[in-house]
Amino acid sequence: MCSTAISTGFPFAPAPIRLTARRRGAVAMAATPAAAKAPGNTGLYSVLEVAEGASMGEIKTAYRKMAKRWHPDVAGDGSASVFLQIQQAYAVLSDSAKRNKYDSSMGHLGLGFRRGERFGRVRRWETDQCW
Amino acid sequence: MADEIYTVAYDSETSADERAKPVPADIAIGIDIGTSKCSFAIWNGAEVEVLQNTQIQSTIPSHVLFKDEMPPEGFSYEVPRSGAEILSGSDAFNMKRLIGRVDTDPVVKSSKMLPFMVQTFGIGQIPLIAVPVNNVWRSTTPEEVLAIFLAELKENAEHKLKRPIRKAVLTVPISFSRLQLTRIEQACAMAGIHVFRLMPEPTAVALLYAQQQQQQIIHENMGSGMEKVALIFSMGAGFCDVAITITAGGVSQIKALLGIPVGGEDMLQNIIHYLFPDFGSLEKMKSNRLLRIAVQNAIHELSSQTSVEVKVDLRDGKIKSRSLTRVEFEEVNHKVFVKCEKLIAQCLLDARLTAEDLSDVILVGGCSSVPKIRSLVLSLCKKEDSYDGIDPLEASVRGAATEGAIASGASDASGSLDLLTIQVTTTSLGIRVDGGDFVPIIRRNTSVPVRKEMVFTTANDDQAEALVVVYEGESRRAEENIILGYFKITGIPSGPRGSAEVGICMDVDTSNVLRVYGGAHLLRTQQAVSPFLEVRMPMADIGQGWSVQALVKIYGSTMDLAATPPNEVQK
Repeated sequence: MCSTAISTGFPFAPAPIRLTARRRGAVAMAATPAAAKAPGNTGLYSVLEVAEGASMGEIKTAYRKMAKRWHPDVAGDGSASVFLQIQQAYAVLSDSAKRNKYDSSMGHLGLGFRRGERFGRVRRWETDQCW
Repeated sequence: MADEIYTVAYDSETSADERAKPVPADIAIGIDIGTSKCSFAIWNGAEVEVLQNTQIQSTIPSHVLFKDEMPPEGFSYEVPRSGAEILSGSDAFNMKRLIGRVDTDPVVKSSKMLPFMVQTFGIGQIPLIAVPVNNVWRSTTPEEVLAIFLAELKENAEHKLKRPIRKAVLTVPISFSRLQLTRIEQACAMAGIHVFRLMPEPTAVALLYAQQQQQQIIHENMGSGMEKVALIFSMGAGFCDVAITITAGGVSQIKALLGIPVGGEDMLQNIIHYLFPDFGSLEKMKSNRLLRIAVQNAIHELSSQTSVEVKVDLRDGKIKSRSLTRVEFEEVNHKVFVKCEKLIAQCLLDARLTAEDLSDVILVGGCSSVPKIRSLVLSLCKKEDSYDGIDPLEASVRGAATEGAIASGASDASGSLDLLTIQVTTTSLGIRVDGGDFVPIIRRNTSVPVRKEMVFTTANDDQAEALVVVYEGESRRAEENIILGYFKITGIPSGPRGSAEVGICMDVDTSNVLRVYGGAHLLRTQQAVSPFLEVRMPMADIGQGWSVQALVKIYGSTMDLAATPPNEVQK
């Protein structure tokens, strides 16, 4: 579910996240979020399934909606990497400073991923996550 | 929190099926092990029911009584039934304050006033705890006392529910370290209980709050987008915890958690000291117990009246009598209140919120009835009154039982279990670098699940191995934090210092299990040069401070890691 195309970071073997198996069955397995379906399309907005100009309220509502569907407590095994993407997307988009920086970097590179500053305090989710 | 596969028999999402779902037979019970009282509850298919013990009490004193009669197999013990039994002199209690702590811990030192033996050497090892049985001091451990207690609770619950209990959700203080949480799990294992989840106490309350908000929205047909921000202040006998949660649409997002081991017990000890300064030697243990109970009752009475008479018949011909006013009580415990205030202020700061952002303030725990506690919390939060929809003494256990039902796969037609809590980490997690600095990799108050990686480099030329020491805590000095474990990364390619990249990754899953991954790879190539290690933490145990000191002394400088980016060292 975690595409190597967006993993510019680490050569770690993908670590299986083991979870105590959970409720509401395998609901999450029936569908895959946009980001996981199309490995190249990793824009943070598409992870949360919102438009690029979405308001803060819309982003928050979308995050909660996605969390209720993809949080490992709900969706069980295998959804952890998806939820980590959602979490990281939200961490950037819910913070107006980080969001502005992300928006401008998007415009700059034209792509949703690049090698981020590996030692900066603010770390890019693309390098941080998802492997 | 051992891995357990739970097979869910139903996979469809349709509401018709939802309604037809039976209550799964193996719903986890919720247990609130308090410092002074304990309770347990379960989802009965329609609502949470707080179970009562055989004496029809919903809370049970957290005491274990060691009996004088010696059965053939050794000592016997039981959970006391009444105050008179607690007075008999052979019981151990307050174990939640002692579990997983070493003898240099201030909480252990303050426990020396308790009417049983707490023997320490001040060398960072576990204390010896003993109670008199047959005129002999019989040693025990906090884990053993808790296990006996939990086994009793389990038996009680099984009797009530007429089915075996296997799984439980337990509430724990925020300030518990991972070593302490491991000890709680061990106590549960001894009692035959599988820990489904350990939940910080106020987050259990947050779950109840989210449930009530959700029900209200469904009831009033309001939009689900309305965000409610609540501050939960929980103070019992042993611990003071603060949580800030943002709730909307049945999702409770924890924003910040902060806790300290300060509670009613500290206030009780301060007052005992103030009223009876000569209190405290083991020889006078029985009279100390009597004093303790009398002062405790007096403090309870001060919640509703402004002064009280403390009268203790020491049963040796002496009667001690002192009066105590609420003003005196508040003066003597001034420092406790200041600590509570600081905790709330810091928690708001951590959540990046102000009192004006709060929709509700929820006070729970035994100390929430202390007038000064109420007034200080409300004034800091700029509220006239606290949220009144939650029973302050049952909130924790009800929340735990609700989480137990949700995590066990129960569902409810009214949607009252359609809830989610997004937890955060309670401490920063990181490693030791640069000769003793602590570098956090996952910071405190980060939402879980989380996975973070950081790159380090070698500190010496031709360094083939690197020592990774994992700590939790907030101090910038590694040695002042709590050691969780250590391992070494081998096979680092030789070269000048700073020529190799050493990657450390930390992963916390939703069951709060921490795994640390580490390995070396060639600079700028992403090519791993040795297999990556995966270590589940904590692997260390309490009292291992010395061995880590030895480890650091022997290998610290030659196998050190540097936080500087590899390419910068090369310049």
